[in-house]
Amino acid sequence: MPALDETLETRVAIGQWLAPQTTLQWTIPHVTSWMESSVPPELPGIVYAKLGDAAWQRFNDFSRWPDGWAGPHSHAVAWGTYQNLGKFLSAARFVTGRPPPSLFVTDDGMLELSWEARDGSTINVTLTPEGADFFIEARGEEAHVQSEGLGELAERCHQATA
Amino acid sequence: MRLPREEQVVRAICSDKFDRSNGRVSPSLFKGPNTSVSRLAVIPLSLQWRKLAATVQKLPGRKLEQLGEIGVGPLEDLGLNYVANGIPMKVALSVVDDPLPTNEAHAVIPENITAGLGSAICRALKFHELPEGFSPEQIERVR
Repeated sequence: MPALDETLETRVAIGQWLAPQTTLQWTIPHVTSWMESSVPPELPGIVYAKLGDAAWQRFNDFSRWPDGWAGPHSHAVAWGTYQNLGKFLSAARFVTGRPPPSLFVTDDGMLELSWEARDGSTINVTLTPEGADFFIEARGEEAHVQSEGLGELAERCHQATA
Repeated sequence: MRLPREEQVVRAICSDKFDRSNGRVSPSLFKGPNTSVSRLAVIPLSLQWRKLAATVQKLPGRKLEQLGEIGVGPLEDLGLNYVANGIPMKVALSVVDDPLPTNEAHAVIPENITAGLGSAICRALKFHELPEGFSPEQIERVR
C-alpha cells in the first residue's frame, strides 16, 4: 500500500484554485498575432493545480515572451501548444510528496515538462502545436504523438513514473 | 573550423532552461540543430559571464543562471555512444567555430540533437554558478 504522501492525486483540486484575481489579468506580449499569444482562460488554473506555484510563475513569464525572445529564430508559445498543454495536464497524474514536473520553454516556443521516475530516470514531454514529443529514459523510448494521443501519453508517463 | 577534442566549451543556462526551485535543467538546453556554445580557449570562464549575460538577458524574467561546461571530446563520445529505442544511433556530433560581433568565442553544434541525447549531454555538464558578487541586477545594468 502506498505511503500517504505518495498517493496519486491532483495537488490542488482545480475548483479550489484561489489565485488572486489580479493574476488572471494577463498582459498580451508584443507578438504578431493575438491568437498565437492567447492563453486559454482555464489553463493557468490547471498549471497551478497540477504543477504548483513555481511552475505557475514560470508559465506566467513564458506566456509574455514575444517572437524573437531568444534570438531571431525563436518564437512565442503558439495557441495550439497551450491547448495541448491543457489536454496533457488534464489527463496527467503526478505523484504527490515528490517534486512536481518542471516547466520549461524551448527556443521555438514549445512547452516542456521534465521530471523523474521513481528510479531517478528522466521523463520529458515537449508539447507542440501538433501534439507532443516524449522521452521516457527508463524504456529508452523517444517518439511523437498527435494531439488525440495526449491522454494515452499521460497514462504511459504515469506508469513509467510509478 | 571544427574544434579539437581537447577544447572546453560552455553553454549559457537561462531561467527558461533552469528551474531553481528543484535544480532541474531542461533537456532542451541541447536540442535541435545549431546549438550555441562559447569557447573557453578564446574567452576564459571568469569573463564569459558578462559577455553571455549581455546577449541573453533581453526580457523581464529571463536571466542567466548558470554556465554548463563540457569538453568537445566527451560531447562527441556521447553522440557516438547514444542508444535510442534500443538502436545505437552513432550521432556524429561536432563543434564548429562561429565568431560573432557580439561574442568572438561563439561556436555551434550544427547537428540535430534529440531530447534523449540532450538529456545525456546535460548529465555530463559541469555546472558553474554565478560568481560571488555578480548579481543579476548588475548584469542587467551591463546590457
